[in-house]
Amino acid sequence: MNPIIRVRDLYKIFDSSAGTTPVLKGVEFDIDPGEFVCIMGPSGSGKSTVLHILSGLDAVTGGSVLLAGRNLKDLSEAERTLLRRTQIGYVFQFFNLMPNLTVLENVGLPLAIQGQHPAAREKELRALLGRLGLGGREHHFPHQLSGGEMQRTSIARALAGGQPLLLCDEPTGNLSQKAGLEVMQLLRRVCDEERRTVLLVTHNPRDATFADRVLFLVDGALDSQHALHGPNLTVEQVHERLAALHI
Amino acid sequence: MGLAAILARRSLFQRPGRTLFSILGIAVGIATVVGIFTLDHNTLIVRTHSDDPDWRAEIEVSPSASVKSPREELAKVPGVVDVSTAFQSQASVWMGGAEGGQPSSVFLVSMEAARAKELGRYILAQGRDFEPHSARREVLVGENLARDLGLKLGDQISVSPPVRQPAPDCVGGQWITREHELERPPSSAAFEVVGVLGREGIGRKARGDVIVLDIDAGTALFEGAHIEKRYWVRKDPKINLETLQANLGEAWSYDLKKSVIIGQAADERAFRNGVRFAGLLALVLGLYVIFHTLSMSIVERVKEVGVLHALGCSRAQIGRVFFLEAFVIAGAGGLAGLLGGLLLAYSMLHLGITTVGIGIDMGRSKIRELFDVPWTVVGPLVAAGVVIALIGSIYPLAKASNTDSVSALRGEDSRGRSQGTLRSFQWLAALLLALVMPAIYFGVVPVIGEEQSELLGVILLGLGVIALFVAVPLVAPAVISFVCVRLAKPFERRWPLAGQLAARTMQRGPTRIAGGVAGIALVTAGFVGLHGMTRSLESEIDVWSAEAFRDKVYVRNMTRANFDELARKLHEFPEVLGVEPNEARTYSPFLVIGVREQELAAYGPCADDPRLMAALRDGKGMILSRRVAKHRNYALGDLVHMQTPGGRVEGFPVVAISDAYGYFPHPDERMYGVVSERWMRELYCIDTAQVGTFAVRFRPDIDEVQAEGIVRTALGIGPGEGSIETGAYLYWWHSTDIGRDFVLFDIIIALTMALAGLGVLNGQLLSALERSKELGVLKALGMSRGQVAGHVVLESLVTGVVGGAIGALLGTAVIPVIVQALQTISGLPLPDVGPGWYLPAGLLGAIVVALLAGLYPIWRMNRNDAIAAVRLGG
Repeated sequence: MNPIIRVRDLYKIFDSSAGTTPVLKGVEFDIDPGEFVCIMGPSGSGKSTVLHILSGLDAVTGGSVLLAGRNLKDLSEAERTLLRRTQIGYVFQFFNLMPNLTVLENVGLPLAIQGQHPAAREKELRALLGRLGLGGREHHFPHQLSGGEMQRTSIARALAGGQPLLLCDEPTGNLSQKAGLEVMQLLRRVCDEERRTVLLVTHNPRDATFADRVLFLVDGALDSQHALHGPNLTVEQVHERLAALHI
Repeated sequence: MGLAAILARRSLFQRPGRTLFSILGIAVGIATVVGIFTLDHNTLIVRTHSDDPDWRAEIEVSPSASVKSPREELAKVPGVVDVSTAFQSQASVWMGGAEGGQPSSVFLVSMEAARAKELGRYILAQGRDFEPHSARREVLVGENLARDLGLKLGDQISVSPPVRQPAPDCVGGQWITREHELERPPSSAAFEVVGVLGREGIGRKARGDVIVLDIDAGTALFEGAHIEKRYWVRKDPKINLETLQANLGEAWSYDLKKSVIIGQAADERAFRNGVRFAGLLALVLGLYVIFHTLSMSIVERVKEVGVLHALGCSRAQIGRVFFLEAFVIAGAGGLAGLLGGLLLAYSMLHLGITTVGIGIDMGRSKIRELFDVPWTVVGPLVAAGVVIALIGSIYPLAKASNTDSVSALRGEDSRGRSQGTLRSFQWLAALLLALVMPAIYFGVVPVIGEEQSELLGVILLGLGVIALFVAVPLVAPAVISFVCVRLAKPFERRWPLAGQLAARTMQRGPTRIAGGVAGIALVTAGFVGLHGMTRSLESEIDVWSAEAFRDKVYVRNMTRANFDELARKLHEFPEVLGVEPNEARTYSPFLVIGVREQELAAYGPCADDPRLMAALRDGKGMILSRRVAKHRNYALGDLVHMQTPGGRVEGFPVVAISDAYGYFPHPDERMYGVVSERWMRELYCIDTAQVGTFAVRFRPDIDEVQAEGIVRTALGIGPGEGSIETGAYLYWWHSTDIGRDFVLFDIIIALTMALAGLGVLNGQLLSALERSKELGVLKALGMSRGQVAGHVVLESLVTGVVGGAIGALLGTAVIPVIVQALQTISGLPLPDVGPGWYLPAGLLGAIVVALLAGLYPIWRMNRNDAIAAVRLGG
């Protein structure tokens, strides 16, 4: 099976007036289709940067990133945008729902971006919202939802476009314990039932237990030796590994 | 519904305040300019559309005896672009040949057939125009005549000059007739009817009992009869009427058709050009407001762009979203502006507000019938406004669509990243507003008259001021912001939270604050500058009235009485210096009034130089008013040519230039000359012995009540009886008349002030949206509604004070330039008396507008859901 993501010798250095800051230093990993992978690391370790690079929003300084077999470095911005549109669903920590759009419209946004008419697939979208526990909330605006509901709407938006890869950036970081748990269960279900690949970045050990594999980003590099493999990971295992890595 | 439609629709409707005020910004700017031009266009149409059937050309001139080849010499006069020879007379017409039936009396116009079409003096209801070089005799007939005689195209009619009474002439005070014109047997000739005139122009003459012949055929028909050929002149529109009149010089007498040349007088031109420039100011300010609002909204939209990009939106897709939104805003603004402008113009006409004066009753039915939209001017202006608004809308959003999505998603402070975009946007705005828009504007709407050089100076100054205000937020936002923050500091002691918040907000948004200040300052400068100019005009009235009428009492429409007797009664009072009759007057080439020179001895130039009285009486001298001398370039010793009733031209040397004699308020005419009543009697056979309207000049130390009392006592007119006006009353009337005339400018200033207020409002609103999270947190921490309001009020106050102060100072500085230009254009001796109390009034107005502009943002901020703001992060 060809991996959906293949990252080799990935470097990312940020330039600023204060000087250069290397964030990623030779990161390498593969993710297979349908796999649920979690990347953990302390704040500022470059977790989100990995997602930005994988989604084609940010450029690499060195190394290569293959997404669905295509090297992002070789693609123009328009091609990267098209790849993102067809391959990636994004779930953000702060939801980033369009405040002016209703839940239904937010969820239909990827379809509209793909040039489809969301109204033509309204039944399907309503069913998706129903599955995610948002039935009856279709015409609410984001500010009328709870945090958990907003994140579920965000996940529904990521699923609605049918993209095979979900990039989740601290999706529970802004939610209560209960709501966070619901969101993680949902992501796991999506991975299992819809065969979507999920790449989660988080610093929450509980969230990591839902993954098939947990990678640790330390000092700009992934420590493959200390990776955890599921299923049925426990919070204790994760804590233990974090402690071992002094995270 | 596609992506662009979904997002644009929601963005527009979910933030109705922002949408409404953005549309309003464009709409008010466009409405002002559309309103001004539609008003100007219709002012001229309605006032030009005379009910007087005696239609004549724009300027009709007659040669003096010294002119040998009138037509050729006239064509060489600078400012004359077209000349056509014509004469008018009565004629008899009957059906068929020379021995035909009962003749009908008609009015005959004989003109150059080859030029008839291009002169456009008539329209054809049926048939065709003359064939210029046809050997056949052709005639055009009026509608009424055709109906009465049952004439059809192709019919033959006979035309004959009437057995007419000869034109009389006044010689030595006696009416005489020319012998050679008596008992001339009439000739006749047959003509073919080739066209029927519509009821416009010549076709309206004599209620349609009119015929038009070619000049050659007419001349042949009237051979041997006395006809006075006139020369119809069309002037170069770039040349002023006064210049053309001066160019015609002494060899020609001329008559102006006032209804045709409405809006062409010097003061009217100055007024109309001023209105046009004010229109540009409003349009530029309207666009500036929308540009400024949109540039501020860049910050707000950056995160939205980032999210859309992360979701797979291409730059083109994002661009389309914003284009659609901008298109709706600009289109709706343009449409609302167009409709609002037309409504504004229509309403102003109904209220008697025109571009050539205020308080003019145009007649409601006439306005309804004639109201016309000048699409050739209004269309391009609206289109230019919408397109520039569109460019201004798209540019910042297009720049925003290229912003760094990763930074936006990280939720990093976008202000720093937006600075480059803002700066390049401000440059674009400066280019569009200070150069492109004025260039389009003056391309579509050229200035009126020939004073391009003077106007160019004022326009360049105006554009410089506009450019300065556009550039201020670009080059010196930090300076403006610094000043505002310093001003807000003292308030921190009294209201710590509001003062601190206002100071921080202004510090964080220097461009926004500078933009608001610039808008307020621009309008305040306009207000102060305009009123500095009106004060100058008032001051001119002050000087003029002191010389012309302040010490006079005017008696009007009294039963005509012997002037010598009246004067004797009045001179029994030592306070009376002189009596000026207003009965002996003629209009050739301008208003000329006959006076008793001995009545002028005690005041004015005749008191200074008694020889003037002899010059008036024996030397046919003329004293010109200052305005007529200025406008027609007359100097002492020049000859003024006047045509007598019989067509002779007499020369009157200019012996003095003064307003001391001859001004009468009904009609209010400041361009006139004064001659001895002897010449009115001897050259015009006007009865100068009896008068019913006259002016009594008093010593300067006599007040108006005393003066009026003396006149009533002397003439036996009881209190409340008769039509008596004192000079003091007239002075009051003229002074307030300036205020009335400039109401139109005040309306425009009010509209532009509203625009400046909108700019401040939009800036504060966007700031409120941008800071909704911060405000939510503060509310959660216990900040009251009053404290929210306090910091906005403080910011508004500071914006108003700084903008008002800058504007007031700049307005004061430009007054001398405006006054100098107006002086050149109008020919009025205008003193520069500064802005007076309009300086503090402008400052106060600026503060009030800025405070009012803060009301909606305060309401919006207090309505903001603190919890939602905190949860959603704004």
